[in-house]
Amino acid sequence: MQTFTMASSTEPALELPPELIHEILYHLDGDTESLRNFSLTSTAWTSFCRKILFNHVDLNLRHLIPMWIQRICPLSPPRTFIKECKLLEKNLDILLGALHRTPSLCSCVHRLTLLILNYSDPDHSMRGGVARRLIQLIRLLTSLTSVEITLGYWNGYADAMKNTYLKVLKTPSLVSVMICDGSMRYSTDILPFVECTKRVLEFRITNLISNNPGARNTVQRHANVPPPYSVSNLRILQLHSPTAINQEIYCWLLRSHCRISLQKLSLKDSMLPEGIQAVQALLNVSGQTLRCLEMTVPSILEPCKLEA
Amino acid sequence: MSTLKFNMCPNLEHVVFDGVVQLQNSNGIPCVMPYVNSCVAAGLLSLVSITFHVHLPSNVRLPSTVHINWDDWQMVDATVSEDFFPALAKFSVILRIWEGKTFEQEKLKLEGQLPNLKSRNILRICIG
Repeated sequence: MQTFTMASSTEPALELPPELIHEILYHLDGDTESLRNFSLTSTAWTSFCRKILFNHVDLNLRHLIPMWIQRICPLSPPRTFIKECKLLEKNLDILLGALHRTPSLCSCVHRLTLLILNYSDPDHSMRGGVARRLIQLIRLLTSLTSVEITLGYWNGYADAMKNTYLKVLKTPSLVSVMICDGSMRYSTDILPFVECTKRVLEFRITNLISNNPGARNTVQRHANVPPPYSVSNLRILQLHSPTAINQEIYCWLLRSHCRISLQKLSLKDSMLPEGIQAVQALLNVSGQTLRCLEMTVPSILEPCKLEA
Repeated sequence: MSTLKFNMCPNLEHVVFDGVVQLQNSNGIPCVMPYVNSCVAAGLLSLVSITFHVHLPSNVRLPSTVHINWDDWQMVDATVSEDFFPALAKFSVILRIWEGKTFEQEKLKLEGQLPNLKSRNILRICIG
């Protein structure tokens, strides 16, 4: 892509309707260099380019640590660790600086990916710097529509980070939430996350396990709790986690919403005998609007004859 | 075996059964049939597509003398091909973890067990 120079406002390309400009520039999504050049072409195009460039903020810290550091990490942990912290702090400072200098950029960020590794304690002597910057950064993003969280061990998070995560899930503009690859001490620890399902349209959970297998009989536990009669916006529910976590979510949904209008339900690992009752209850509540059902059938194999 | 009832989901259009296991000497069709029968019992008039994801073990090299037995799929063919689902326009079987060479042979065998669906021209078998 050639670098564009500043053009006069009489250029035909600059007189295009905004929706066409957006359509053209959207094809460059991911091509940071070209978008940067386009944004320098005209001030009229700058806002379009910014919307695309800052649409997705990826705070997967693995992506912010160069591969060479990840490779030598096992060889010299202490030195690399300090280097890793400093590098992450520097990268996060760049992003924070940009957002502070141009506050309008914050409203361009609609999608956030979070994987913070073990940088979850802002009071930690070495990792605290990164954690503090992460909290600061996440709190600036108030126009999010989609959040993808790779959770890790939730009970290992410091309270400040926990509160930041839960605050993100309360963002009014949020439409889609995905939580994956994590573990929790108790299956009920998922409930603060599930509360966002009142507002969001799409809620997905994948590979989330609870370390306490004793928290399964929640159907009975919540059976007598009167529903608060609220309305859920939830349209897509994906639960690809072991039964204990799913049970909590079913029960919460069943006792919290008298009106739930699911259109797509995707279930894995829920079809064990103890899970079927809860799934059936959910189908009965939201069945009228349901258009698509994906499920993993129990794989209890029965022998059949060999041909040869 | 306990199963789900779809009577409260009259507007279902797409049903996907994942985790159907097919080995040399056993298969998961007996596990799926209760769910297929539930669809039949619920009279899903708007059901447009049914998809099966069939899983085969990747770490087992099948001996040339042993063949996958697809006979139980006749039950699915017989049930689904009746007039229970008037809107059904697509029946997909997605075979997962297959080598291309074996796939063509097994695809023909499976097609042989699903003659009614094939004659209605709604059958699609592919590698997932």
